[in-house]
Formats: sequence, structure tokens, C-alpha cells
Amino acid sequence: MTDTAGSRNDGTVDRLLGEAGFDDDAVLQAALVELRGLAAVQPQASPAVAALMAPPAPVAVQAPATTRLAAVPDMAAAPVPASPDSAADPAGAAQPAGPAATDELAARRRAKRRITLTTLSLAASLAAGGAVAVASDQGVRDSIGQLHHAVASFVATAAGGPVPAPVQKPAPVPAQPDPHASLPAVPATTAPVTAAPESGPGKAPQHTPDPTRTDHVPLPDLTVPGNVTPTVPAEPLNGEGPPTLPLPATPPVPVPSIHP
Amino acid sequence: MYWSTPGMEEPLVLDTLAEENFEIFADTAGADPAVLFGAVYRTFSGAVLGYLKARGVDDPEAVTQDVFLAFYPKIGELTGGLQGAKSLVFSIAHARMVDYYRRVERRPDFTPYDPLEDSRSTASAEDHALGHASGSAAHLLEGLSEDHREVLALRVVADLSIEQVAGIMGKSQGAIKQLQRRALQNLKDQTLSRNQADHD
Repeated sequence: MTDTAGSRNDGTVDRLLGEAGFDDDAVLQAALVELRGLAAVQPQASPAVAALMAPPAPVAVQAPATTRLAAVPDMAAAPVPASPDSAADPAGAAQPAGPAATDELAARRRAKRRITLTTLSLAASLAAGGAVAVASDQGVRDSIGQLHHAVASFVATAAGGPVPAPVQKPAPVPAQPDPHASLPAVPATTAPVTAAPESGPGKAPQHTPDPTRTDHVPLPDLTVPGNVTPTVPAEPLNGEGPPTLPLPATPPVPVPSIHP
Repeated sequence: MYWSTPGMEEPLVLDTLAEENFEIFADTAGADPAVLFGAVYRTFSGAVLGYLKARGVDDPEAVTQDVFLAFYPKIGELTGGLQGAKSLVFSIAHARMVDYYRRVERRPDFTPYDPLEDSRSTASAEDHALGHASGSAAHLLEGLSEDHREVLALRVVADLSIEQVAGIMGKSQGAIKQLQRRALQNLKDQTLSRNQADHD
């Protein structure tokens, strides 16, 4: 190891000193020779490195190695595709420590494949679960909505009576079918639609002070036009009471007839 | 980048190689990677170990093995013969050294004080008689700056050319020459002051 270190270091160190302009510097030469001595010791190869350095086995060994790999697919088949060249195969077949180095690459590739497969499967399962949950929620809503639609449409189209139709209208109004209710009876729905937000369950107690306010305001209006007076106070009175059924039936028809 | 080396001023390593290694690297195209790897290891492992020791890396033997394990998968792409392999090996070693110091900077050492590991002690009479304590060669570079240490370690211990050192350190050849000159001057001053302190 260090047998020829002195002669080699002298040439290297002298050349370096000559390049840097310190040709005959004894101090630097001694220091650099000592520093160069660090490279004289060759480390012992670790088992992994020694396995990579293993000399190739004779060619005759290579044939049974391939047969073994074919015979034993689980353990020995992995390093064969991972090895870059065929020379790594005899090393792996001759020594058990040989495939350890080549197994690293194969294991990394396997790990990457596993990661991708697991992520894909996890994403697919999550998507399926989410879809099922959403479908279940929408199914319930759709079923309820379809019931309402069916009942409302059937009653509105088949029955056609003015009395039962508004009876069923306030029930679906809080749910959904506003457009369906407005279609069959246009004049009848205009009045209840304006009364519907006022006749809400939460706003019912707030309307009790409203008539007190309206008592002061509509009084002069009632006095000036004598024709409209019976109809105008009738609307807030209808809005106060939850049963909107009798009001749309009586007043809207005579009011347009009075104006012309 | 580090693979093709014209070798204009590079007879430095050639005399250190065995003839069989020359023959192995004469044609790397169809060569056995295990044979090439063995030749590279036998040729440069000592220099890599010395370089890592000079740079103060903990457990340089293990890092040397890591360097060659990282070198092995790149044998198939190797061009430039033995000089290309040398440049590649030391570029890997340089990267490992840089990684080591970054790791050290990130993780402060919280080991408790152990008087047996305290290096602030005077050498024994035997050490004085034998010259220097073990590992003192690596301590020659302790007072120098990082660039000066790196240039001297790559030039002297790793025996790389100026062009190779410039490629590894990412500097121009002129900058490497300047660094080398200043590093040698600082090393000389430091060695003189150290010798004077020893005499005192």
C-alpha cells in the first residue's frame, strides 16, 4: 500500500509545486507529501461493493443459473431483469450476496409500482364510496321530490278544481314546486304567492303589528277611491290569516270588473 | 461534463495505475461492468478515502463504499476511459462531502461531553517521538478556508488535474489556479507557524 507512495508523491507534489511557483519549498513539500499519504490506504470493500466487484463466473455456470432462475421464479427472477448486463447474473447466482445490490434497483422499481397501484386503488375506492354516498343522498331527495311532483302534477292536471288545487299548493310551496303551482291557476296564484312569504310560519307573529301600521296609512287611501276600498284592506287581512283559500276565490274576480 | 477529459496535462494518475487497469479501460464498450468496477475500485478507492478524510467527513470508509455503490449504476454510460471514471468517482465523492456538511449544518450535535473524545489534549511523549498523532495529516488543512481545502484535497489527495477540479467545483481553470496558489501559500504560513509553536 504505502510501498511506492513516497516515489509517487514526490512526482505529484513536485509537479504541483512547480505549477504553483513553489518549486523548492521544503516546508510545503513535506506537508503535501504527508497530505498525499492519506490516499495510500486502500479501504476494505464492504460486502455490497465486493459483490459488485466479484469476478464473472465461468460461462458454464451461466447456463444452470438461467435454468435455476426459470425454475425458481420468486426469489431469483427479480434480480435478472434489474441487472443491466448479463454479467451480473453469474455473480448473483454464484453468491447469495450478489443479487443484493441488483435487488436494490428491482426493489425500488417494485416499490414505485406498488405505490402507483396503491394510490390508484385508493383513489378508485374513495371515488366509488363518494359516488355511493352522493347517490344515496340524491336518491332520497329525488324520491321525495318525485312524490311531490307526481302528486302536484296529477292533482293540478287531472282534478282541475279550484278548491282542492290551492289546498295542496301551500303544502308544496315550502318544499319545491313553485313553478308547477303557478302554471295552472294564474290569477289565483298571484295573490297567494304574494301572501305566501308573508304567511310564513316564522313571520306570522311579525305581521300582527303590521296591521296597526297599515291602519294609519290605508285610511286616507280608502276614503279617496271608493271603489277600491273593499279590496285593498282585504289583501293584508288575507295575508294575516293562514287560510288563503277563501280570499283568492272571491275578491280577484270582481276587482278587474269594477275598474273598467 | 466530467466524462471527457483530454488529458493534456494529465500524466499524474497514469503512473499510479497498473497495466491491467489500462487494458481493462482500453475498451469499455463491451467490457464486463464487474471487471470495470473492480478496476475502478482498486485504483481510486484509496484516493477517495483519503479525500474524504482530508475533508473531515465522519466515517469516511462507509462514505467511500457509498460513493462506489453510486458509481456502479453509471458504468454503462461511462466514457472517457479511466480518467472519465476518475472524474465521475470524485464528482460523486464531492457531492457526498457537500451533502455531509449540509447535513451537519442542519442537525446540530447534542452529544454529551465525553472527556475521552476531547481532542483538546496535548500529545503524549510517544506521539512526539513518533512524529505526529494518527490522522494529523488531515489536520493540516484545518486552518484553511473551504475552497482552499477543497482545491488541495482534490489536487493533492485525489490527484485530479486543474481541469477536472474546475469541473467538479464549478469554477474556471484560472480561478482554480488562483485558489491553488493561495491555498499553498496559506498552508505554508500555517505550517510554519505550527512548527514554530511546536518548537516553542
